[in-house]
Amino acid sequence: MNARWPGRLRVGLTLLVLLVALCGAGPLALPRLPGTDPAHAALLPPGTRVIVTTWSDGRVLLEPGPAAPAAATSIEPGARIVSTGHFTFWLGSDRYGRDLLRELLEGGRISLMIAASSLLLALILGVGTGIVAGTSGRLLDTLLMRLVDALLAFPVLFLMILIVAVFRPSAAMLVAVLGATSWMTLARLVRGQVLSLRSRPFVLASRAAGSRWHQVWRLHYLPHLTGPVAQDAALRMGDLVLAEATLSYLGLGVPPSIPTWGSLVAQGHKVLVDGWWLATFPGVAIATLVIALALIGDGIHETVRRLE
Amino acid sequence: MSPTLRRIGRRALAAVPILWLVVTLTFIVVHAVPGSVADLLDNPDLSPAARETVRHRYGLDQPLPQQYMRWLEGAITGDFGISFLYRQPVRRLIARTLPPTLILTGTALLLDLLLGIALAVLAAARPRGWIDRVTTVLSLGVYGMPTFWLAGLAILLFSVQLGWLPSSHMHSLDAATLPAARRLLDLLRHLILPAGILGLAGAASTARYVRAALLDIRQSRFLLAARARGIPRRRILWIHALRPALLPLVTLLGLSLPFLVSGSLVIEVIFSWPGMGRLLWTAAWARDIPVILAATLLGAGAVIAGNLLADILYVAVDPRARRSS
Repeated sequence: MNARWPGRLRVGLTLLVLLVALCGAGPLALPRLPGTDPAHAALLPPGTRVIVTTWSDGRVLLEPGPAAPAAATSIEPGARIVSTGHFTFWLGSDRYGRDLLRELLEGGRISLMIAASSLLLALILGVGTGIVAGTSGRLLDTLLMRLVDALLAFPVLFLMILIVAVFRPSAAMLVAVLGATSWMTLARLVRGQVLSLRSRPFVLASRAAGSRWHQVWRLHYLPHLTGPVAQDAALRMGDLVLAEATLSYLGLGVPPSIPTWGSLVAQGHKVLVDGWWLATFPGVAIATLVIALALIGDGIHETVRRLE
Repeated sequence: MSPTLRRIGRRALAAVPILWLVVTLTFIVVHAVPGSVADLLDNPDLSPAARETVRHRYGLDQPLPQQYMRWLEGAITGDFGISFLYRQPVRRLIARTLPPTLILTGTALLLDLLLGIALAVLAAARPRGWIDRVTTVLSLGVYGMPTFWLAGLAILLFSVQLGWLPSSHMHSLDAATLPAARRLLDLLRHLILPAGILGLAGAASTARYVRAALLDIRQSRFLLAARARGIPRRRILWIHALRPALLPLVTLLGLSLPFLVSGSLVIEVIFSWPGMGRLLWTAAWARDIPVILAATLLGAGAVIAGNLLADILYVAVDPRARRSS
């Protein structure tokens, strides 16, 4: 990486890449625990190592400790051990005996995908509206900006709840709601930039020299828009991660059968006393992601400032 | 009329079309989109006649323009109809749940400002000193942590492990029998965890904001002049620099008006606080549209009023803003 990049940007990007890689590839790389009897694996604390024995009648038993498998007396006659192995619950297990690490990585993949898709939607809506408002006539500009004002007047969480309550929540619906409620400040930002660039000397000079409109856009507008938009996008993504987590925590996000970091925290809170780890680790994951994005946003701001 | 008043009047007038748009947009979301509120009430178990009665009771059998006019009228007069879930006027539900919310958010806002400003001044006294570094890291950390998660940790520590503070509700079960002073104490004990977490989360961003303003002002010449006159450093920091640095904070105060109404939803849900956020949450589960609409409109009204208040406060406090208008 370039040495001129601010430290914050490097730290943030490293964390983000690490999280994306872990959530993207992690569930594939993890050893899979065969279908087990939840009674033996529920609410195991982090780091618990168990012996897995698979029996010829299809049952899988988990026993704690590194000792040899228990005597076969508890097993029905005729059944024998097919295989034995070890499994470590690095982050513990939940009420149903599921490995929290796997749940965390799979939930993270969904949380990341929802946040990224809704960011993309917000970027398209925000940048599009901003450019249209900044370049069109006064009437359309005024109308669009009043619409932005009105939408910004809603408390975002309330607006999300209103839409989620009217329509049935699904993953696609959630992306639409999150994207449709977070493009307004971007539109304002882009419009402001376009308006201020319009009368800057280099743009006027370029136009006077006979540049076509797409040349002016490519050479002058877009480079000046990239920095501020990228900074806003990084911070916006952090907000979206938090918003998705909050809605899922409240049970108003994706259907409960799909794990996300927010719903994992919610499930962890149901067994707060018996399983502190269940709510703690997903929360740490959310905080790490949001902080990484904030660092990236700060870093981009710093880089743009240095370039100018 | 003075220019200041005229300016404020102009801003207030500009808020009217935005309010109208807000009311209309909510109507569009709820009514004009197919497959929304009318279907929601259509319980297939009901007989056609009973279904007709229900539709009539909520005015859904009328043509859309008429429903829209009624909706506008209701929004202006504050009449949001009857809750599907509680079978009570929404206005009464809001009136009952708003005070607990205001108690919670008001306390949190106070804590937010006091803690945020104090931390900012301490941090700005020695930029890059240890207080500054710790504050920066802490505020970044708190910014990233979801409040519901922080709340869970706090409950685990202070209610479950230590047993110091109650983990939910606003009063103890026997609160009604207690004398007034003990009742207040009981309320305060219930208030500490939710208001503390909300306030802490807010203080993190307030501290960052005020610190930046203070560091900006450190460069200005009037502070150099004050130092040349031999005024002690501490006095310069707390009096000379803090006053202009708080100017943007006055705007921030106006902008935090919506927080008072809508800022505590998640915390209210976790701590079973009997406020408006919790009402909205149960309404969302039951798809109790009249309640959700009323809460959303109230929240939006608070945002618009807060923006206006921020403008007015800024003009009132900053002499430069008055001259330029």
